[in-house]
Amino acid sequence: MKYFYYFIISFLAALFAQTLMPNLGFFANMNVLLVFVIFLLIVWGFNLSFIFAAFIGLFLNIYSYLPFGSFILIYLLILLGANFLYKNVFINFSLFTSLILIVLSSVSYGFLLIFLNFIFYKLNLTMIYISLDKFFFYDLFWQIILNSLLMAFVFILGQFTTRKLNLAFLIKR
Amino acid sequence: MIEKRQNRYIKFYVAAVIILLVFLHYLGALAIVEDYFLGVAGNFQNQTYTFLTKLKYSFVNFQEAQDLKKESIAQKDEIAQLTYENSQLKDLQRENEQLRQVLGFVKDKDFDYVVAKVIGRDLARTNTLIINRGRVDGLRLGLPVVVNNGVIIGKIFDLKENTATILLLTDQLSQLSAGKESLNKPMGLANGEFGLSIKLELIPQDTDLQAGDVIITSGQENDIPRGLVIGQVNRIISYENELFKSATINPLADYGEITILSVIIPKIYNQ
Repeated sequence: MKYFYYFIISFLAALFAQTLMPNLGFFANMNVLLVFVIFLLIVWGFNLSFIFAAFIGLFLNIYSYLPFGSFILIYLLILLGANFLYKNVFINFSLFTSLILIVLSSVSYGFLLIFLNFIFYKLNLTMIYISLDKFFFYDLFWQIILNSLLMAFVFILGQFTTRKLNLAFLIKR
Repeated sequence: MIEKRQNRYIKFYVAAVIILLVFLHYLGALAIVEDYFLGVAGNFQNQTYTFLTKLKYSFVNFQEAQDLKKESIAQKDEIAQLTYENSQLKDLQRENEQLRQVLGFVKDKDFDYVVAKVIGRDLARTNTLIINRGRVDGLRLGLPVVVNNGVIIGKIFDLKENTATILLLTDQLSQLSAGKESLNKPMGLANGEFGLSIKLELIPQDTDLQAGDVIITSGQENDIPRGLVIGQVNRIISYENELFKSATINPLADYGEITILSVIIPKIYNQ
């Protein structure tokens, strides 16, 4: 039954990202779903974030022009990389860890998206591609900034609701 | 201990389910489920998108109302001038109508419309709109999309059974053969510029073009009829040593405000 709730929450999160975020003008650059998935990884662990990443990727792919499975692959790859770094490199719950993870994840997301889009374009599976130009880097830069701000906000908000989070730097679990 | 092992295997189960779903999607077995989901979710998404768009513009409209109050005093003279010009245009319109009757000119529509609602944007590319019409409604790739009685805003570039994705004219990869009302041949190529405006390129140097001219589709593309309004010329960029000149065009529709639009289907496809 809980997986059904995860399914519904993922659907609502994807709906929120597709309908609300484009209407926010400058803030449309923010990747709310990526922040959500990375935050779940940090607080609740890999298994739960894996499930949400898979469901969110599934819903995004139903509407997207990219071949089915693209967003699932992107989100799962980013999650695997973030989990590896979190377990083997950063190993603590601090705010700085979450900020570093979201920055690396945002960069990975941007380049994975452009790389996969380019491959699908060359394979004639899609009609358009994303250009690697100054406007891509401009959008990526602001996505990193906005994602980091959102992660910091969510992290601080979460600190008041769960004991798992620790804002101090370099304190191990 | 048993719970740890169960937790470890969950990701493998989920991965297996996802791979199975992707496999079934490409086999076509998931089509009925996807169509049903899109049908149910599409209406909900449209309501949400429309509500949020209106909410955004309610804040914008309040600020604009304050600015407009200040401007209205200064524009009284301009209104008087426009009223005089309007009366001149009406005279021309009457004359045009009489000429049409004399020549026996009959304007026959050679395309149909499919009205669609916007349900969101593709997160992989922001200069897009997703609509709640698809292949089952008779849509095809490359069909033009219009708002406000003939202002073209983009073309369909991705199509599913119940939804379609539109690439807006301001996107960098958008291209459209363009012309002017007074010219019977194409004048140039309208390319999107960084999601903000449209640039008309490859305009021959001897073409008469001025700021304020209305640019339309030339009708040279298979599925796009002539006469759809692309925008209005803002600025002309011309250098004497170059073969072609270019111009920036202001779109006549606010792409952020669109919630309902029409897809044009040439009648040849309905036969």
